[in-house]
Amino acid sequence: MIVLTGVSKWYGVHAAVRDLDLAIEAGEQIGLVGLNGAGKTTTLRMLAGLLRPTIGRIRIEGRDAVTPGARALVGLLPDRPPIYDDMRVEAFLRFAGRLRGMRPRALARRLEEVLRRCGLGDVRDAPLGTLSHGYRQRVGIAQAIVHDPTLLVLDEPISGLDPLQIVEVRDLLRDLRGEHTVVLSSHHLGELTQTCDRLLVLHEGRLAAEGTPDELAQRVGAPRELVVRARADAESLEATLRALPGIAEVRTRAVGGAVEAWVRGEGELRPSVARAVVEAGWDLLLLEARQSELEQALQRLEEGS
Amino acid sequence: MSAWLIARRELGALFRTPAGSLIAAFVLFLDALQLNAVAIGTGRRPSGEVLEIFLLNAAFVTEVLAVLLSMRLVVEPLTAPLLLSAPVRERDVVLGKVSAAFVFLTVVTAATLYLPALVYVYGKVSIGHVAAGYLGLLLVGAASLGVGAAAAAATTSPFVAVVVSAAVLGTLELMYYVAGVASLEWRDALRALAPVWKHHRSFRRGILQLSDVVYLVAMAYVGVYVAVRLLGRRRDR
Repeated sequence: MIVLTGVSKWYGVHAAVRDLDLAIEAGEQIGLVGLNGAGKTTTLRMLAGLLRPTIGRIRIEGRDAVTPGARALVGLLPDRPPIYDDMRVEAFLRFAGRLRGMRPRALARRLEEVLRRCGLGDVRDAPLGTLSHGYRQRVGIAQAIVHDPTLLVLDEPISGLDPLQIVEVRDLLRDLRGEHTVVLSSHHLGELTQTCDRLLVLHEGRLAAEGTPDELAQRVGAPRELVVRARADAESLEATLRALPGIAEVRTRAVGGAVEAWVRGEGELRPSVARAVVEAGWDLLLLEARQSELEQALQRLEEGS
Repeated sequence: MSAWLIARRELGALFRTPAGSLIAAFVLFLDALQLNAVAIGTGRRPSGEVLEIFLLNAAFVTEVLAVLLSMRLVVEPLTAPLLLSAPVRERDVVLGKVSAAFVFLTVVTAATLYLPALVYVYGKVSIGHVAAGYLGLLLVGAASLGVGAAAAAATTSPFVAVVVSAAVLGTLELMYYVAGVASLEWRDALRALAPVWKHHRSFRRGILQLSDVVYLVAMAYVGVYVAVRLLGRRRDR
């Protein structure tokens, strides 16, 4: 079990994390979400024992997180994979395992499994400096799990990956569920809802909200500002949208050969807007929330608190 | 055990990467050049004096080598999370890196042994003189690496580590000359700070003087100690 008690981290006069209280059960997969500067990376680095909290305590299986005893229980993938370009994949993973205190025989067995699970079998002898970003990320995950840690800390594990690689890493994370307690961070709320049991929303260093993906989705609700693009004339589109229930404001502008409307209202507006445009015989080119999902969630949660 | 692991990795990197080969080639070139151009020179000199001048210059070259190696002593932002999140003490990280650099320095220094060997073959110097001189070079190297380790632990930039360690070692050597204009009570104290000018002198004359050995070993120890403390403070930044 991992327990954070009154954890704050100050960099000079700036508080990166404030008053964080949290308990993480064994086997849980926790997602940390927040905008840049929310305190995600600082929290993860404190969990991994890289940083000492300015105030408060972090205990991993009863041990202070910065002690070597607690660090032996943690595997960390930072925002950039911590790899040595001059080493080869297998030699590097062997080094990482030995560094975490694994015995050579146990490491040899574990290494084969880790190479297979992370899809690194075909590049095991490749120099790390020659690998693509996707493979480097896999090696980063492999070095984090090579010693079979109790707690796995992953900072933006899908950052910079292409869609195919995202699917592979997502599958790998699902595969790790139950074996390790996992804490991972992302800018993508949608990404975390697919893999995590519980989400923690950090905003300006504070825990703004926490709950299961469903609980948070209910609290956040539907987007209130939409952008609609259609092949229509501006006046007719504006009038049609204004007539819909729940819509408070509509503004239009010409974009190329189409018209773009900005719509604000209450409740789930997307189905009625889409239906209205299609039933009017116009081509619907775009229908999306104006802010990112995360920005909206944070705005709502702030308003709620 | 962890220090040994880190030392092996760092040593492998030093011998595998072009930076290591370039540094070694640079040092070998400088030592060969200074023996021919400075120590032997154009006039006639007794072989003992040639060896003494060669060892003096080689000691400065060793300081330069240690300064260049200090860039490898930096725990860089990319790989710091691997080393500092592992159950490894800061002491092991510093010792591992410094040991690897010292072994590399020893190998490169040993590779210059053919130069005093030439003086030994064609001149009249004793093996003891050469051995004492080279022990002095290794101790100057260790002391300079100590300074490099402290400088490297204070920064995450290899360039800054090189500049800071060069500045510190340069200042210590300069003290020998600054002492000349200082008041009498400060003169000896300032001169005693210079690793090469003051503390390598006995070695290059073929003498093992305990006070010089103690000073250079202590300088290496203090540097490593400061590096360990500075690295530990990174968790509080």
